[in-house]
Amino acid sequence: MDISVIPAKKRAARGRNQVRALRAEGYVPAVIYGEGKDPEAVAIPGGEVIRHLRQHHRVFHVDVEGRKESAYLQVVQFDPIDDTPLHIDFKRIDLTKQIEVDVAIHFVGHPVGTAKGGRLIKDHPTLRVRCLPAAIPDSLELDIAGLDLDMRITAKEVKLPAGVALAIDPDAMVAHLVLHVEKVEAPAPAAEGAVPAEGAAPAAGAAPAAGAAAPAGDKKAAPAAPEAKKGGEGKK
Amino acid sequence: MMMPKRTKFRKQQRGMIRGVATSCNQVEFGDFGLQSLEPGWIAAKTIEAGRVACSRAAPEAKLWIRVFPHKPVSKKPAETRMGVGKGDVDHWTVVVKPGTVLFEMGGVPEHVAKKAFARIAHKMPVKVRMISKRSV
Repeated sequence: MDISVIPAKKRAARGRNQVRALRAEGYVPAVIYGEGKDPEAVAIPGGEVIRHLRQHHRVFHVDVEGRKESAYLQVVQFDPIDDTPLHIDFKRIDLTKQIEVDVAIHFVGHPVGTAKGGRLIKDHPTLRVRCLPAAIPDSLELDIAGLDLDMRITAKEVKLPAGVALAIDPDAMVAHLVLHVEKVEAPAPAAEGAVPAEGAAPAAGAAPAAGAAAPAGDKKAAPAAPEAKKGGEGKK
Repeated sequence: MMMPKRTKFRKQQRGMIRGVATSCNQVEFGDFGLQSLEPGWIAAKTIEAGRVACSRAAPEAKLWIRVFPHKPVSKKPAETRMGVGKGDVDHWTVVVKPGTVLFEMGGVPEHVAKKAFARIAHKMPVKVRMISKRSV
């Protein structure tokens, strides 16, 4: 992964209203923190942010008015409706030290087991790996075409590029296929749905089902009629 | 149909829907989601209709229903004069803000999810769109 340079300027704007005005000018508010230094509020041109996000860049040299800081793209907050970036968290990193990051797994192929009624369950859509910041892969490809019913793929089976190591349990399940059974609603047995004969007492302890119609001859068992609440009858 | 097992109060006032969804606005469990773009109420029977439509369009898909109808809606009987108190609870709805993810789907390719979500979208009383899981 190449390390991109992203321009930034120091940000004095704080609070909702000032940050909104900053966004209206075309900047995205951001913060740089970590490595034992004080956090620094910055603003980044919105066009630059969108361009780098589209190219899945994650490690940057943030150029804060001439001073460069190596940083990792920790969190991006998006507007839920129009998907514009609202705020970015950069975490300072040392380019010579390994870091742990989550890398998305790109599942390739269609499992053979799905034709037999299987359902693909992705237990880990991302994988936590440990590597140098410059070696963070964009994504990890995993071929699932051979996945059959009751088979599973574990983390150690994912091919990692050179210099990248797993940071989770190697036996952690990444994806598996389970048999998908359609829930068929069985028709109610005739004995349960049958209305008891007139005058016949129900079995002791057998509570009537909620909403079930009362026997025709037993008007007292019927629920209170809604007519009881009519306006005309409610004179005080 | 979905409805609460018990509630603290039997009936609620109607309320207003202000702002956008600040939570439940991203795909969390599956690969794709159906996101509301408008505020509105979605009835329990509409959620059920969406679930059935999805299970028929994509039976192999895993579906997550991200909303639950917590709000009771009361209604007076037909041909009833006004007054004499609030009506009885008629049905249950979920209050949806723009940005709320209603359904999520996983285990299927994008074209299958798109087709199934289109079926669900026809049944929803609000404008919706399909979104994918974010990688950042």
